[in-house]
Amino acid sequence: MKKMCGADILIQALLSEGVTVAFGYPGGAILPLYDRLCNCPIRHILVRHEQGAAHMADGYARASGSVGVAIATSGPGSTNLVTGLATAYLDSSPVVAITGQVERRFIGTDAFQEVDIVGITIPITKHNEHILSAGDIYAAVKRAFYLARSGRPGPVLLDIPKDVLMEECPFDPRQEVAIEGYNPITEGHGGQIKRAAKLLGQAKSPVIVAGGGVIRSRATEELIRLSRLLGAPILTTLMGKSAVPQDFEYYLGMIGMHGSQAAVRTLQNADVIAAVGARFGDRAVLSYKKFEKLARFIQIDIDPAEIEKTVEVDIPIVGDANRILTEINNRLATEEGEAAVVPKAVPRARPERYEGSGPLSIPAVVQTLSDRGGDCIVVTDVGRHQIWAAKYYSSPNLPVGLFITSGGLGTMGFGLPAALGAKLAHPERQVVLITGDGSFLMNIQELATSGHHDIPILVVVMNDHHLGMIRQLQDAFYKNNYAECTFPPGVDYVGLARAMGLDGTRVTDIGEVNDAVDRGLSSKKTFVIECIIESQENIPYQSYDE
Amino acid sequence: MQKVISILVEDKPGVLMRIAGLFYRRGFNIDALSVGSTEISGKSRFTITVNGDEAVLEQVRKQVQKLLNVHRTAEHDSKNSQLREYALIKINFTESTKTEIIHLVEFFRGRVIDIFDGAAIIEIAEEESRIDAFIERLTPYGIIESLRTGKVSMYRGKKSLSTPTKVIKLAG
Repeated sequence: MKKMCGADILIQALLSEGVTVAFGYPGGAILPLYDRLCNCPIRHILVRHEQGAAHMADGYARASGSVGVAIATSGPGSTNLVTGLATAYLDSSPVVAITGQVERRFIGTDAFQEVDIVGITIPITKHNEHILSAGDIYAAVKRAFYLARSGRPGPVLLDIPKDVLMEECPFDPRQEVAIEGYNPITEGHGGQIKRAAKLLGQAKSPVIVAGGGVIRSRATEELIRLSRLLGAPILTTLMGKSAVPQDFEYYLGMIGMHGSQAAVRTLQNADVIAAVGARFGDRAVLSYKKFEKLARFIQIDIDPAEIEKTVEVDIPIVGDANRILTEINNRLATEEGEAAVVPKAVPRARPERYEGSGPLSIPAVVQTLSDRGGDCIVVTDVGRHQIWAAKYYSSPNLPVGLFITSGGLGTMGFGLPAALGAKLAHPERQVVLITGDGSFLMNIQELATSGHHDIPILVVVMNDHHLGMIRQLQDAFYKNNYAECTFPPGVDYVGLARAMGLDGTRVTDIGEVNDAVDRGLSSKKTFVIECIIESQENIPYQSYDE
Repeated sequence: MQKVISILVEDKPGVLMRIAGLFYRRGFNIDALSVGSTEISGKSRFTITVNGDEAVLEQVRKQVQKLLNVHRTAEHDSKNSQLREYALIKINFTESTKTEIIHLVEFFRGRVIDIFDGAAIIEIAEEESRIDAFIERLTPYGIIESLRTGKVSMYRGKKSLSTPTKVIKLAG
């Protein structure tokens, strides 16, 4: 049998998984891999900080639906991945991270650049593994990819000592690889599906709440079918924002703390709420006490540990959303008794619009972007701009599943690298990043990556010289005590883009936004539009109180 | 409420850390933990005794079940299972007390396994409440040190944790 080194076996395994692009940063312990990677068909994107690699892999995964790959060296290289892995974990994004480790004989001796990254990432990965022999690499990689993308997707980390990457061993590409003790449930329980169909069919005001699981499961078509069969409005969580076309007639916006009032009132008038791939997060539910009393609940989730984690439900169904919705729909559409379902007359919904005027504000810019009606992928960062974007970006051509945001972890700095990753997943599409002056600076170094690797995106920076969400919280809960939430003027974001070899322009009036966007979208390089935001408008809070 | 959970795992380094982390995160203090090999090579079995809210515990058990290295989990009670604990008790052992102590040991079905330097080590494998009672009765004689392994448990009848788990073939 042919002998190969660990690094080559690793590359063979990645190629067998169809990997075409990987995001990473070299270092001593991972160098044996880089030594071989440059001669293989995988395109390597050299990031400027390992956190960027993790978010890019995550953005790539969310946009493509396939596994994103991040590579880092041992020690600080691997710890820099941590925030990105946690982000991917909370939003169920399939990422495989490969980290170099010190040589086996040095492990546990506090050797140079040694850190126990497997121990550190146990709570923020779906699985992680320390590979201690070159002969184990192929199987470990195959398992990692399978775990990352199957069931409830999530990040998997493989930690490989430098000498294992260099170790020569016989390699058989036809070797048997199996996984034991992993059995994601995809098919829903027949009895539960029947009960759910019956409950929905008999409901007077059924409501569907779609979460990120609908996107991961590609269940949009069946979700829409269910909504039309029942005449039931669809509401989404933040993660489910692009689960349905924004102009779908039964779509009534986002639930939660900063959702639409229409959505919250719709929940209150429901008698049955069917949550699909939504995990009842605290920001979406507002008040667990009041939420539980709203209606009877059906919960569809692929992860059994999500069932009744926070909210007691009447009919839980574990399995793949698309399969379960298909079965429910088939029952509702054909079975006697249940065929009597008459769609309730739901007024054709109009997406929430921002009508405010006055000095340049974030929601006004978002509304202008939305009104262009483009089919761009939209990526956001985290903060006030993120919520404004989720509320008012409702271009009817926003592609399904391609409103990309860090919902669970709320990671500032996610946006720029994730947008670059999304662009690589869909080079034919345009990507717009909506960010703020706080978030943008957290991974600003990736502008250099964009220039170096020729990954053009459009960046819209809402520069309100504030950490807006912090200011909003201080307004609401800290008696307007604006502690440490201002970034005084002085940073020139257009100049910054130019310094990185890119281009941009500054906008101070709403009338200038469209021209700037036209320029940006036709630019061959990443283009940064710095919007000088004068307004400090806060996002309204929703509640169940009338 | 006290729960006894047994967990069949792949015998790999770090499994304990993965499991313990999930209990820790929801604020459970593990009252007792025992780990050892089973009749299946490469598989070990944990028995964990914890106290706490039942719903939260059930959620933790589901999360434990999700770990790749965990193959099965089960919950035991005195109806569906036999529950046992093992204890070692070192006690002052003098001419004046030895007859009484030996009587107690016989009554509680323990065993004196060592006598040295005026002290005896007694072992006992029993139900928790019997061990509690035994220790209470021995206390007046002066316990020098004692330890308990925590519960181990096994389903009654043919029900078992060792039934084969699903294997998914990925390549080859």
